[in-house]
Amino acid sequence: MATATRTTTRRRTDREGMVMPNRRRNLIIRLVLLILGCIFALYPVLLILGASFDPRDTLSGARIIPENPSLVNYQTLFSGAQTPILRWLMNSIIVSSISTVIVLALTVLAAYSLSRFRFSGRRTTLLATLVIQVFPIAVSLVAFYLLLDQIGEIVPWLGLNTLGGLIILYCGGALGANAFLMKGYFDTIPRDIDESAKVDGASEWQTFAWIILPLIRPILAVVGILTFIGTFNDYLIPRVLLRDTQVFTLAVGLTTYIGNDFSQDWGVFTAGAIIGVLPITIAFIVLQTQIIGGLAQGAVKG
Amino acid sequence: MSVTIRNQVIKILLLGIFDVFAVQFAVALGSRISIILGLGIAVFTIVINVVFLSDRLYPWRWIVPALAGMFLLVVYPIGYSMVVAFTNYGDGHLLAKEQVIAQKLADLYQPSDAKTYSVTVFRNAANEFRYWLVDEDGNAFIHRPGEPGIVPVAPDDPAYGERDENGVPTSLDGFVPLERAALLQSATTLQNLVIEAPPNEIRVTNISPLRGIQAQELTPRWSYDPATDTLTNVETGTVYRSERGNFVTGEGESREVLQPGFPAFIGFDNFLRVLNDARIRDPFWRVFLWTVVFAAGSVFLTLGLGLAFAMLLNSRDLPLKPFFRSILIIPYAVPGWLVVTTWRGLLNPAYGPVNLTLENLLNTQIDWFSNATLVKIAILFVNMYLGFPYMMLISLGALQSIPGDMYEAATIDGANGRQQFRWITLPMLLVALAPLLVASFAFNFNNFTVIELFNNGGPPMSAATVAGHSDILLSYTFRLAFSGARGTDYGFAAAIGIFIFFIVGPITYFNFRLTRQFEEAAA
Repeated sequence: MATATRTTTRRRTDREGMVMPNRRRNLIIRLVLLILGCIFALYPVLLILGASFDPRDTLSGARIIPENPSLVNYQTLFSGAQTPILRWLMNSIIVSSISTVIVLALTVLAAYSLSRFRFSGRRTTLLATLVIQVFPIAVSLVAFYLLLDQIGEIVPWLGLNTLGGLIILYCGGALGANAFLMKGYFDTIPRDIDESAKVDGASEWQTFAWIILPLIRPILAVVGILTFIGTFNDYLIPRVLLRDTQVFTLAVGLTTYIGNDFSQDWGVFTAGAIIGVLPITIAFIVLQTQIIGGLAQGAVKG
Repeated sequence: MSVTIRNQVIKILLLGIFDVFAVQFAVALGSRISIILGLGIAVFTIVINVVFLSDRLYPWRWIVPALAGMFLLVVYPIGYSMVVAFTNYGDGHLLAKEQVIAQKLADLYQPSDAKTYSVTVFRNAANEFRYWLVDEDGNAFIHRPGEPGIVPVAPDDPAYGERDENGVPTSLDGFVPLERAALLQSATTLQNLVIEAPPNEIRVTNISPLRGIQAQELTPRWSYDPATDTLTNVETGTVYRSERGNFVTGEGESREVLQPGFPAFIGFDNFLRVLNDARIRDPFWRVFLWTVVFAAGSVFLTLGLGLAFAMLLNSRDLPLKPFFRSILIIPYAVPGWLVVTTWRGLLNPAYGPVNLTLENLLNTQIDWFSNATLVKIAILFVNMYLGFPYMMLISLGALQSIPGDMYEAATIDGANGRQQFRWITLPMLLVALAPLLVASFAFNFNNFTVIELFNNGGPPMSAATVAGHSDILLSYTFRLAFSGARGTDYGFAAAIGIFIFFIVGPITYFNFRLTRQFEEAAA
């Protein structure tokens, strides 16, 4: 045992002593390549950032640091004179927040039951939520449109071309990957905790609300962030459902606004993009570990 | 005890309020829009009531709200799409059959032997009107606005007082004939005068100072026979039979289709079109091929670049590792729609800084957007930019989980760095990442955002199809169903959606098997 340890140690020092200059060169190559990668990753983002301070309001001759930087694009944006970008941002925030709250509520309740109770139909429910994930959104797209068209005849604010319709579609898919993620986390919390709460006289609901809920905050955060980012960044469904400028989300509004002509409106577009997207991008970078962990278990980001 | 009673009361109250809305919604949907949908909501309302009132079903109370949403907004749409895929629902087939027949029956024409009337207009002090009509045989009729049709008047009916030589009364209690000047003054109004005499209609055809007002009777062009389910053109006598969503007549060359059609089941026609219809077959299979190339190419490129960066980062003595990682993740952290739109700008032939630099370097014109090959290269590049950080992060995790002693053993055996990568890193990594790579393939198979925002699926393939060279199946579906430029075809779009399912569904299913998700679900 002792001999073995000694020999490995010796070999390591030997190798390091021999390879040292090689290793330094290796590190420098790594650093150079990584810096090139960072430039590649950052260049488009920095160009947007620069353009948002470029008063010329065009992509033509764009530079990362504009010639006469000014806040004029942001002023145009906030004056609301040219475009309803702030309105689109509000729409996106409304849709994503409400969807996130409802999705969290629905999944946390379902996951609690699926984790804590044993009842007939439980396995079937779990399998069903898994099986419906096999169907890609492409299958339902036409039906989403026709269904909301029909619902809108009865309840106008849930129909096509409404934020309400968009929200109910997002919430309808609440079960699925999220419920699994959540149920998995519930399963890691020892049942002794609920048992002792119940021995102390807590009802099922009290056990859930006062004992378990605070313990699952991390997974609530992950599912909440994934849902918020997923809905905020979604382009397909709002593109299909929304027709009027006033109900556009930021994704549909901004991309429609810039259209095909990059000779004008580029500055205001980038300013709107920076305002709308910066918070979510920063949140993503800060929480990257949790987000990737959640994504790897569920779907891939949209 | 009192708390329990209070809770019970609150529960029943809330359930009652819910029921009021749900039942109203179900009834309205069922009676006006779709019986199946109305029934479905009614059933779920009952289920929710039962679940909340039965103690035995307590665990379901927690799940039933999410389940109801899932059924209405996930399961039902899947089923609905599958039904639509077997119909011809779309432009030209939007109205229900009854509506089409009603529309046809309301279509009037002027037969060659149409009845002709000469009309005398009467007006009273209150500016109300009466119309006196005399047909070619001298029969008189009166029409009072607000009452349907014309009422025959006997030639000697004393109720209408004195008549002139044409049998027209000189006055009608308080109403007097419009003088010529006034008649000409209101000529435009009279020109549009239509007297409804269901199912016929009498329309003014001519106003002349000499002959007065002439009107003709229009009659329905079509008659419908429910027994044989046929429409007959009264004018020509042609009989149209109902056939797969249209009224048609004749066979082969002389076959004639009546517009509009109505939604009807057409069997597997939508699916067979991709095999049989030359205008569909060619674009469809080209779109399909590109979809597979795009999805596989995207996985390959993002994994390649991501793994390269992961291996650069995966070193204990690298300084600033978290910093590099955070910068490299940015393309993935920024929403995809913004990244794609930005690259679309950067590669713009006229203004894009990246494109202008490239053109200077290569000393040639490059248009990424109108060349079928270049647009695909550009899209793969943009998607590589978008997706490599995800691959980098998961590769980093997988690399760190490869046991270090495997490399040590390989070193002892004399394997060099390249051999270690080929025989240890790559196989270990691919095993660990396989499910995620498969998921990534399925995701990119339907990556609408990149395709639509980069070039709207363009450049167009040909004038005969809505498909473009860079369209994938999902964006092709989108164009068929919603683009409107060439009309909508919900049936065919739904069929392509199902086609997508038959490719992506099994892939996802086997992926779940691979990762033992079903076993986990059954646990």
